[in-house]
Amino acid sequence: MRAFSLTIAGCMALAAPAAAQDTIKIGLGVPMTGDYAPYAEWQGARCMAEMINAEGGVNDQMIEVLVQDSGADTQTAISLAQKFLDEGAVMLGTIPFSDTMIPVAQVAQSYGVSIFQPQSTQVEMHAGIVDNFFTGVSPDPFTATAAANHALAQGVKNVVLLTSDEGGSWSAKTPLWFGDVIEAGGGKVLTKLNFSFGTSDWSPQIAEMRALGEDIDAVYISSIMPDVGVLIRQLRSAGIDAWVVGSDGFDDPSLDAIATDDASLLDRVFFATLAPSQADSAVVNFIADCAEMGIDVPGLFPATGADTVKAVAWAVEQSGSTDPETISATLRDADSIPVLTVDSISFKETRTYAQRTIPVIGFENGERVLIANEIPTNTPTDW
Amino acid sequence: MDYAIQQMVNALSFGAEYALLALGLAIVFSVMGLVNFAHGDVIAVGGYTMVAFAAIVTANPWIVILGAIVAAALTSVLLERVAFRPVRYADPTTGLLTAFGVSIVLQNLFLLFVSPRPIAVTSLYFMDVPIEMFGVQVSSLQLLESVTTVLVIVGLTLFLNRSVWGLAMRAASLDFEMVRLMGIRANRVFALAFLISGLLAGLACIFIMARRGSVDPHLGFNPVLKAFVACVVGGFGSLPGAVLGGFLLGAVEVGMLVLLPQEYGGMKDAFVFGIIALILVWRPNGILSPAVEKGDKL
Repeated sequence: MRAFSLTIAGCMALAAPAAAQDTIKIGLGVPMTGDYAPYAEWQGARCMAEMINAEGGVNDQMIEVLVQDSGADTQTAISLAQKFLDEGAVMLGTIPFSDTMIPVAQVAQSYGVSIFQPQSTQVEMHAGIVDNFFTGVSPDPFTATAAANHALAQGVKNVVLLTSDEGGSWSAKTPLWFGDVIEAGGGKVLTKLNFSFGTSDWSPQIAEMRALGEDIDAVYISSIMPDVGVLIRQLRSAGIDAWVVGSDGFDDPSLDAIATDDASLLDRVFFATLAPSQADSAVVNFIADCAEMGIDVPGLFPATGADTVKAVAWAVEQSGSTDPETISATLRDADSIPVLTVDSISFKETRTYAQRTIPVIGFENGERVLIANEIPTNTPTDW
Repeated sequence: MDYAIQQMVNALSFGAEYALLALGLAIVFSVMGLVNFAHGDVIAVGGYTMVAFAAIVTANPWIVILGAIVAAALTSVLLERVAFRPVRYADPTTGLLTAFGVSIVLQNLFLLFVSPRPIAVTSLYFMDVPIEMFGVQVSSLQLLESVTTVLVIVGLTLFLNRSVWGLAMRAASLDFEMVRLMGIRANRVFALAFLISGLLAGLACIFIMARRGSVDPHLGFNPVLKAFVACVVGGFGSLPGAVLGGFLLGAVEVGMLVLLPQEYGGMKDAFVFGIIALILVWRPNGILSPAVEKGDKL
């Protein structure tokens, strides 16, 4: 009996630090390995937490980012969310796809905790299924519209859309929203062609484009690297000099690298993305600062984790509370929340997604340039 | 008409790549009865070797290519020695699980110690230039890959029919114990099968990298799944079957991509696998499955 009592006392002593909530915990059960690893935000979150802690933390409390690998597995992500909730996390991040975000949000709801995804653009999350959800960026119709507006400004009339059901609405609908805006602006969708992720030979689609017998001004695709890089090179090889236009999937350092030997490959490429990522942008400077601290933040998507930490830190500071519901309410009602990737965001009007400017990135001599950065007002409404 | 010919050339090119990959799987399966799903990761090793050579040694494409082929071949032999030899006589499912295990370990090593993101390699872009032939535009890469696949088929056929070790490998696929009793060392036969498979992975790596221009941890996984399907369709254990399956799969894929209406685009794979299922209903063991002879060990 005495041994049992000592054991219980020991367990309580071990549990005490977590119960005392001595740090502000953010739980990230995110894909550190597997197919989705490039889109996880944990490196940027860790770096931003270290930066804030080095300045003394928030209201004398340090920020602790709990990170564990979910792979691409929804069930693992749910288990990790449960674990972090039991450890006292005040905000969660998970696999940035709706089939995981929805169940994780449902688990977190009973704890009064919300999900903050700094990079999720899928429209499915804004259909009212869960209300304890924030995404720090604007949904895909906004990026499609920003890209289409710039295309129209370049005189684009005839476009070809490449669509795929494999990436949900991101790859299936985003091109259609782009096409809607182009047609509303007086342009024409010549054809829609299918593709699969992992395509390393676009010859069948290119043969179809050539068979159209019309001048193509732009080809739009919402896909990922390296597929997009292959498409650009094969289009140029086939003599199709149309603009290649895309979404945040283009935003990868390996796209810039295809122009290492021939900068002209990217002359007629642009994409609308999550945040400005050209030289000297806040994101690029942040990545460099993190590198000096010994933390590798490999690109824009990992850097967006800084927004999660900054937003939570701001909400704790403003409200003077670490209660998760208070933090969420503070974020939801704020006119302006300072983050890293843009000056500020707000959920006041939109509730679940951030109303923010959409940068359009192009290339000059193989280097990224910011060519537009505004909140589009002519976004399609059928989402 | 030009359009139809163009798409037929594209289908041939797709098929040549699948056939090259399928041969790499089939050669190991025919000797060892192992479906080596780590074959794709051997291709990725070749890709990362290209990155290392281009960054550290030289950007000379021929040296980069040679480095990738040698690295893939050595990796394949190493995997046979370290991972597959200990389970050689185990149940086939053990071998299959080992292959998956090796594949997952290698992919996660790439993820954790290199990068989860694609890394560009531009050294092989020169291989892909457009060529106009009889009014049809083809890529030099398509031609090179098709010619290489044909040469590999001829070379393998000669090796398997005219050399002692080739005959030993063919005999081993029928009755391994008898081959050992004839004085052929089992370890060498297995190692040779993996060496050839690794060389084929290295060759496939060159064409994949020349086309994609970058390597990521999952570089070879999808292609090897396609190669697996090609082997099943053609008849596992049959090298001509692997080639036939590869070309058939390429033709069906391009056909579905081109012929399916846009609104059914998401059903492409369903149609492709539906057609494959029909083929397997007709020939359950694959189109060219090896005939089972009296005395064969099953």
